Amino acid sequence: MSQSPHIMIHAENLTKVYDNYTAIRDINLQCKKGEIVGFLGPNGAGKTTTMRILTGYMPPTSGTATVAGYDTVTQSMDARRHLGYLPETVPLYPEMSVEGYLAFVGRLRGIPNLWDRIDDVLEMVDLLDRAESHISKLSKGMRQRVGLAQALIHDPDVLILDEPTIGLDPSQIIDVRKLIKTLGQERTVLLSTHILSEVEQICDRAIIVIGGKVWADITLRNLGQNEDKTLTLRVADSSEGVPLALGDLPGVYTIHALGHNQFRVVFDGRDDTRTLLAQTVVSQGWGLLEMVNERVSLESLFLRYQREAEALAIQEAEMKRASEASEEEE
Amino acid sequence: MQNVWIIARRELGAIFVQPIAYVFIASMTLITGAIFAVQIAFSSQGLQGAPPTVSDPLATFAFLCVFAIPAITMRLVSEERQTGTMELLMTLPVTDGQVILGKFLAALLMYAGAVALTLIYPFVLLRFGNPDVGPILTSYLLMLLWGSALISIGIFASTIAPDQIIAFMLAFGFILIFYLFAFLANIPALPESVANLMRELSLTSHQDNFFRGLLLAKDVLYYVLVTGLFLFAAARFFESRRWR
Repeated sequence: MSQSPHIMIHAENLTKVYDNYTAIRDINLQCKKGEIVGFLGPNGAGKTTTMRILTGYMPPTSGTATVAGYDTVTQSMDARRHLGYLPETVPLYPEMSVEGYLAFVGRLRGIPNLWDRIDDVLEMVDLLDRAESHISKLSKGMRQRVGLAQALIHDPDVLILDEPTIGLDPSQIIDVRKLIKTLGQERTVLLSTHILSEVEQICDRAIIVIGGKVWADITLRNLGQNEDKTLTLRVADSSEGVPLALGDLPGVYTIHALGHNQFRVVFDGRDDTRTLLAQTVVSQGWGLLEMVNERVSLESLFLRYQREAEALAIQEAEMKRASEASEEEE
Repeated sequence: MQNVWIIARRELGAIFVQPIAYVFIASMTLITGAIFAVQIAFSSQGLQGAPPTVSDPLATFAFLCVFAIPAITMRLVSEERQTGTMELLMTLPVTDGQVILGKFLAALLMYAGAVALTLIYPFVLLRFGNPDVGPILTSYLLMLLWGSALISIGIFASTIAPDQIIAFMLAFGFILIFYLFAFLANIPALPESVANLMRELSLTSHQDNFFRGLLLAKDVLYYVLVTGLFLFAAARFFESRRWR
């Protein structure tokens, strides 16, 4: 195998075509050991399809995927042994007890000292007191955690979690995030979610898929670096002279009106410029009400990418329509 | 093999959670018991005049399975698909063949349990009557082969059907067609070769020798082949689900 040994998830040109609908197109991604990667995208972007291919649940139409160095199609059994998977629909047998279910999964995975291990994972997901409960009697949040326990039971090198915190209450969400963060220190975690702040909190990287393609691969530590700084400014005076005067200050690049007395200022990010802005507003008697730094958030990036993708889709559709129209003319 | 047993154990648990298993066992015991009791009660010589075999209750048992087995097997695979547990099974280190075999084994064990309850009739005969042991043994071998064949057809139907109702209808349809071949073969207009082929393919025409105490390799082979063929087809279809 040519790839380096600590790359635990590797996808190359994954494409999946259902009947006549292309769910994902040329997806490439790599996740290293000790990395928690957030998998983001609007509904229907192909997140679940990609995860299902990575877990070996279904083969790609073209392209290859490896987990822990094993091809998910040709070395499926080896790949499955190294992988813990929590699908979007938590796969539970309602008639079983929590520990009975975990024992079933654990036996199929051939785990030694199974009952000790079951206690361990139940403690991790905080369900030790419900070990004997029937799954049908559990709340949605508890079922979600049983599903997570199932994915952890064999202490896998790679964890693929499709919306792991959905259906949990706020304190459980915090617990599960902590758990994932701990697990991710020595393993590889790929998780999908719609909660962008979750990704910012626990992930090292975010991969954004839109329309079946990888749109961005962001290292979150660097988020916002190399970007111009932005702040929002609210003043009491709403006359037109305000933006004109502020826009002329040194270090200020652009200024947009957001409301009648609120502005978004893009500037060089220096504290001098910030001071100058405040002083100008005060000395002119415009009344400084608010001046807030705008952090480049994952959310703003995500929305920007989504707008870009939509614009591109419209453009492509128009071009297609235009070419069809010209063909008809001929 | 261990995986097959793990799957079968879970499946047995699921089968006995549902009323259908109890209804099956209870009604089979009741109906075959009634037939056995009536045969003795209406015989003028009491147990001395009892039939030397248990073929009548067992033949009824076998006939009722045409409806009952599809009801038991319908959920075996299609339920996993409906509830999403299929995604778990297909990403655990078990092969598709092991999953299908495990489910087959679970249904067969449940069925064998119901058949085992009828063993009381031959015991009664042995104790009080004058039975023919040979036909009794071959009859019970038939019951096992019969159950295997019908269950594998049911599992195949459950694998290809999108939901449980269709799985039931398909299994019932398949079994009924194979069941009726023997009767349809009697249509006079049919050429002799076609009629013979239909008799050989029929699930029913291979029963008779067993009930008479005759153990023929071709009869045993027929049921073994039907079982193997449908289980193999089920495993292949189960696998092909991935590709869609």
